[in-house]
Amino acid sequence: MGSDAEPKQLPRILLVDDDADHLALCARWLTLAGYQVDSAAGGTAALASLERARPDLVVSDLVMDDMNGLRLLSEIHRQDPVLPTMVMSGKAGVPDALEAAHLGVSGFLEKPFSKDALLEAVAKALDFAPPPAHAIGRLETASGDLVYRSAVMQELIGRVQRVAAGTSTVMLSGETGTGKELIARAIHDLSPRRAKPFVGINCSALPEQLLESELFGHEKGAFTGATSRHTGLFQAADGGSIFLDEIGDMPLALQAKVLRVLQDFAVRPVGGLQAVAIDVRVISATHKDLPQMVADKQFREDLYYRLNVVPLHIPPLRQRAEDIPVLLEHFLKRLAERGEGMARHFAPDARAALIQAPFPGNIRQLQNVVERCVVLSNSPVIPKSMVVEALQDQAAGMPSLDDAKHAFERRYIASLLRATNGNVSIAAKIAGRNRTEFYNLLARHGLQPESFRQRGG
Amino acid sequence: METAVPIVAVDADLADLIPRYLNNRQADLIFAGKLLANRDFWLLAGMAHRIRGSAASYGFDGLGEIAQALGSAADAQDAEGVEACLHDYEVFIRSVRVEYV
Repeated sequence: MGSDAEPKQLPRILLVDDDADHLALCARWLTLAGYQVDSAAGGTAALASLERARPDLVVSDLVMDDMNGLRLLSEIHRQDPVLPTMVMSGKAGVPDALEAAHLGVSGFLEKPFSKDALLEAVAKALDFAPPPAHAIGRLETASGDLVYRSAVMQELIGRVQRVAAGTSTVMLSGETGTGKELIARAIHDLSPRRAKPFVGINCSALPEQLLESELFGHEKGAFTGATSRHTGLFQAADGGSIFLDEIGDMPLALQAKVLRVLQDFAVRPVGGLQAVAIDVRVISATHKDLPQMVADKQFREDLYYRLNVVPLHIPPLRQRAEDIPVLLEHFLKRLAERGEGMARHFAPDARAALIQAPFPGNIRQLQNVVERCVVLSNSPVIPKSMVVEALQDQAAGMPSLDDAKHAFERRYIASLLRATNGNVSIAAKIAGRNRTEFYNLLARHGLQPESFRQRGG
Repeated sequence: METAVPIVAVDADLADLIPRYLNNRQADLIFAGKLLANRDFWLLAGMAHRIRGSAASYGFDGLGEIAQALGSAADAQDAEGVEACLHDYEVFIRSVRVEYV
C-alpha cells in the first residue's frame, strides 16, 4: 500500500449550477461532509476552472442558461474521458436521461433532492472512479504484480509475505479463477528459494500414469514407451517450490506416493531402485472441499494434514468488489503495454457496470471481459454497451457439456502424444483404446502424431 | 379565511444561507409579477421549475408545491392560475417562520 505518511487527499468536486441558491446549498452540504468543493455558476465557468480545479468528480445541473449540462459533460469527457460526472435536473426528459447515459454519467439526481441523496450519489460516483494511487495495494513479484485494495486481500497478502519467509507447506483454497497460481508464485518469489525453480502441475489435467511419471520421473524401460530416462517435477523443483494445483483431483494411489515424498523428503522415480533426496517446498491448491473429501474417504487424511500446514483462503471476487476498479486499471495497463487494441479507459458508467457485475468466474472472467473490450473497441474509451455485451456473452459463454468434453478429450490426447513422443501405439494403449479407435479420435480432433515427434524425448 | 403560518425546520448549518434564499424568492415574486403582466409564460415556467428544484432541498416543501403548481399554470399559459399561485407564493413568503434545528 502507499506510505502511511502520505497525507490523505479528500476528493475534490466541481459543482456546476446557474441557480446560485441551489449551488450554495449543495456546496455547503458537500463541504460539511468533508469534500473539497469548487463552484461554477455555469458551463463556461466550469470549463474555465476544470484545469485548475482538477476535480475527482463533476456534478452539474442539466438546464443552464449559458450551456446545456449535457454539452458541458460531453466537453469534459472529451478532455478527460474517465472523469466521473453526475447530472442533477428538475425537468429532465427521457431523451436527456438517455443522452446522459450515453455520455457515461455516473449518477442522475432529480431535483429537489435531500442532503442524504446527494451525498449517497456522490459517494457512489466516486466509488466507481479509478482508485487513487495511494489506495492501491501492490505486491511485486518476479512473476507479476498482485494488485488489491480490499481489507481481505490486504490481510491475505500480509500472510503471504509472512509465510514466504519460512519453509512451511502451504495449502491454497478458493474458487476457480481467484488467482491461486499467482499467489503460489508470489510465495515462491518472495521466499529465499526464489533463485531456484518454481514448478507447477495441474493434477486434474493428466491421467494417473502420466501424472505419476510427471511427478516422480521414470527410468528408461520402466514401462512400455519409457524409451528414455525422465526426470520428475519433484526433482526438477529441487531447492525451489512445487505447486500441485487441483490436488483434490489426485488419484488415491498417487496420494500415498506424494505422502511418502513429504515424509521422507526423497523421491523414487518409476522403475528406479534408488530414492533421490530432494529439498522442495510444496504449495498445493484446490477449489474442492478437502475436509469433506477426507470424510468421504476420497482424500487421504494423513496427506491432507501434511499439506494443510498453513492454509490460505483466497476470497472470491464477489466478496471484494472494491478490488475490481484496481484490477481494471491493472489489466488495462498490461494490455496497453502489450500494444493490444486502442482502448485505454472505461467510461464511468461502463466501469460502474463492471463493478456491479457478479463475476462467478472471478478474476479470470474479469480479465477476459477487459481483454475482449480492449481488443474490440474502436475508440479509446470503452462504452457501457460493449461491457454489457461482453458480460452477457461471458454468462452465456459457458460451454455445453458436450463441448467441454470435446475440449477435454482433445487436450488429453495431445498430452498423451506429447508424453509418448507421438507414438500412436503407446498412446492408444495408455488411453485404453485400440489403434483404429485412437486414429479415429486423432482424426476427429485434427491432431497429427508427427507434429508431436519434433520434441526431444 | 385565516391561513396557518408555515413553520419550516432548517438545519442550523444552513442558517446563514436562509435570509439570502428568502430575499431572492421575494425578488423572484416581484419579477414574476412583471412576467405575468407581459404574459411571458415561458420565463415564468423556467423560474417556477428553478424554485421548485431548490425549495424542498432547503426545507421549504410548501413553497416547492406552490412552485410546481405555478410551473404547470405557466406551461398551460393559464394567467388566472398563475395569478392564484403567485398569491399563494406571496402569502407563504410573508408568513413563513424558520426554526433552526
